Amino acid sequence: MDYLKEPKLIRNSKVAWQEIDDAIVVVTPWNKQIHIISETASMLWRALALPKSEKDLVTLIVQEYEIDEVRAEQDIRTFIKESIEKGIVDIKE
Amino acid sequence: MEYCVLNIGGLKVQVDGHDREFINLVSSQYIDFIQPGGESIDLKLTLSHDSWPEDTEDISIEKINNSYILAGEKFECLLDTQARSAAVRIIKELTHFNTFLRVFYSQVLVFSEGFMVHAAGLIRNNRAYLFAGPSESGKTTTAKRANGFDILSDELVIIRRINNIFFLYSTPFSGEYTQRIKNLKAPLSNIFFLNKRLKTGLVSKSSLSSFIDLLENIFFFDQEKDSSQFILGLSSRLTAVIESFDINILSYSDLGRFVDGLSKGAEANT
Repeated sequence: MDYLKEPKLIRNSKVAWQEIDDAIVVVTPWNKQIHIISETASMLWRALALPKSEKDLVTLIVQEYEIDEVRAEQDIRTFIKESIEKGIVDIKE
Repeated sequence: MEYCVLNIGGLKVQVDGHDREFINLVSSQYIDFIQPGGESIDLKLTLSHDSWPEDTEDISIEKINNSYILAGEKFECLLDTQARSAAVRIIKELTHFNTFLRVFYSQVLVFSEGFMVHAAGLIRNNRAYLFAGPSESGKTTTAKRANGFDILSDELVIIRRINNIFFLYSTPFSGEYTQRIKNLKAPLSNIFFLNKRLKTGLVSKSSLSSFIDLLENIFFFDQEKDSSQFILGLSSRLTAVIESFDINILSYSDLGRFVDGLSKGAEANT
């Protein structure tokens, strides 16, 4: 896939969030739901302040945690799928 | 124009209306939270009863520029935070006014370093204790068992940060507790989350756990990011400085002795 054409992901600008005890707590104000982002995934949340592709996020995880790329891809896809379903991450066209 | 001044959570709201009978009803219903006239007020609220808004099942708050529209069953209110004024169309019944007032204060508190929490509140020796929980969690039971305490509410209390100290305030918004509630406040000493299934009686909580449980009990309707962000910031600071616990209130027959033991050597939050 052409890197420049890969969809980019970014935090939904309409959510409120707070870092506390190494975790990140995100609130979606439209439904008052509370979402907890684990210490490991909090790195992805910070990175998504700016648009990132799935590949960018995989590279980030592989470098930080020294895990293999296949495992990292699985984890990132789960994170992305859940985050989009919750409405806390948007796809930037 | 008739008026009375409500002082709830330290916020003084002048309630104006053309209907003397209804203003008198409001004054007598909230008698312990009525401020003598002549003092400075924080907000002016004008009531009208001449036309009924459409019934709205859910409570909603919508921000338009610097104003908010608060809507609910039998009321609709335009709140202008810059002009520090609000106009409300509301059916002329105290039950609906009480519901409106809860929603109204939940919103205006955000601009005054505060929020409202589903909780019972108690004061003893100028220390305040918050017992938070949803319906049926034991808030009224807590209030009824609190011999030797002043009761702040068995349903909704107000937390405000003033000069970096968190205070707990009483409200006239009560559940099944029928005793008279005075207008009181004290520095918050401890937070307890009511849990009837807890076998050990008392379990200390982490800041994160306390933060999440507190958020779940905050009485708040605004769907805007900025207000939610403010509440997150204030709650995280609160749960960082105030020690909190899960509690099974039924494990403590003498709440006074229990909190006195906790308070020994502990300073009020700063």
